[in-house]
Amino acid sequence: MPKNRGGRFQSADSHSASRLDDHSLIDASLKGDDAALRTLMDRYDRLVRYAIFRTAKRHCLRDPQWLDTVASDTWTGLLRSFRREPDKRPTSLSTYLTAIARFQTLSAIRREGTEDLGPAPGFGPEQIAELSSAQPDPGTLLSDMDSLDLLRKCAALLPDSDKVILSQLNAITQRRWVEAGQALEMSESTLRSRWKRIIDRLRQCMESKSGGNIAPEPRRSD
Amino acid sequence: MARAPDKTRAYVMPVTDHHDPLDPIETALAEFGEAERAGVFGRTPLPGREAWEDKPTTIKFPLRTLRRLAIAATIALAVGVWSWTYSTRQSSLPMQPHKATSLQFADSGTIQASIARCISGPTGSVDAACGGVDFDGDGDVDLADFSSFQASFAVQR
Repeated sequence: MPKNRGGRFQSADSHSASRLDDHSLIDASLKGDDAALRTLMDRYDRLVRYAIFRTAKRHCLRDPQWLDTVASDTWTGLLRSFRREPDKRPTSLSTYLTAIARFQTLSAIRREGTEDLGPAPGFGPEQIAELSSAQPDPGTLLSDMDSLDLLRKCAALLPDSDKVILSQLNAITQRRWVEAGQALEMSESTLRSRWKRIIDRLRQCMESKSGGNIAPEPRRSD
Repeated sequence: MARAPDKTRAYVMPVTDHHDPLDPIETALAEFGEAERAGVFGRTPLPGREAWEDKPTTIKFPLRTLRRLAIAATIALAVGVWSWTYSTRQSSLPMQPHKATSLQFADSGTIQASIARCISGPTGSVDAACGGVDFDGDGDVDLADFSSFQASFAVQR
């Protein structure tokens, strides 16, 4: 617990902050403890960023800075809401954060629509209404995020020759074999066989580490 | 017309194989690639304290209070003006007896003079000329009749 000496709040170090529960971290953050806030963000930041990505994938891909801005707005919104109403605490911080992330994402999309730049491609009033009605489930988001993390770890274990092939992931998953083969300077058949081997390796790696859960189901993109 | 070689055609129109569905691992890889390009695995910078701390309310609160005070003052002023206008108009009207006496005298001075002249006391009698000031009709003109006259003589603005 952060110590309070002489009436002035003493900053908790990151080690002790990591053992605090969410509400204690929030209290400490509101008192100005940056270590507590950083610990809280380490716990939930990936959920926030992934929720924003899932809500507005195209916007995130168009401008990586966009995700940073909306994520920052989400954390600011969380702290501001606790500052305004300190007695009201949600039972599930992950659900609350996901809702704020979603709200901030939709607000950012609407703001873009009102600027001179015009609405982002693929986002009209209908799409925004559709996004507003759908509620992301934090549990599902975290589960998918874990799968992606596992996949990232498994991909990191691949030999360098296979990692080079992953650089053409976009073309390969869109089945543009000829284009990917030309970029990698290999024939289409060689690329196909090596790709199959890579997928088998990744599957084995993920099955061994996740106890059978291979990958998240395909989902509709925004 | 000669057909362009495959190599050239690949640049003009990407050859996409729609009959080769994605493996779940490939789907996850595609999502992973997009997430990485979007910066999902990055770290959000610590928001500055000034960003989430509300501005001091010392300015906001007096402004709100002043606005309410201004509204209250306007209402009070309007009520005051209406009240003053109404009272001025009413005070310009002549004073009248609220309740007419039985004799409908022209003014109170005449009645008082009549009572003073005709007063006989509680055991006295009333002559024909003073019958008009025997307000309680008990056959005499006394202080009870004067009291009755006073009670009936109210002023209406």
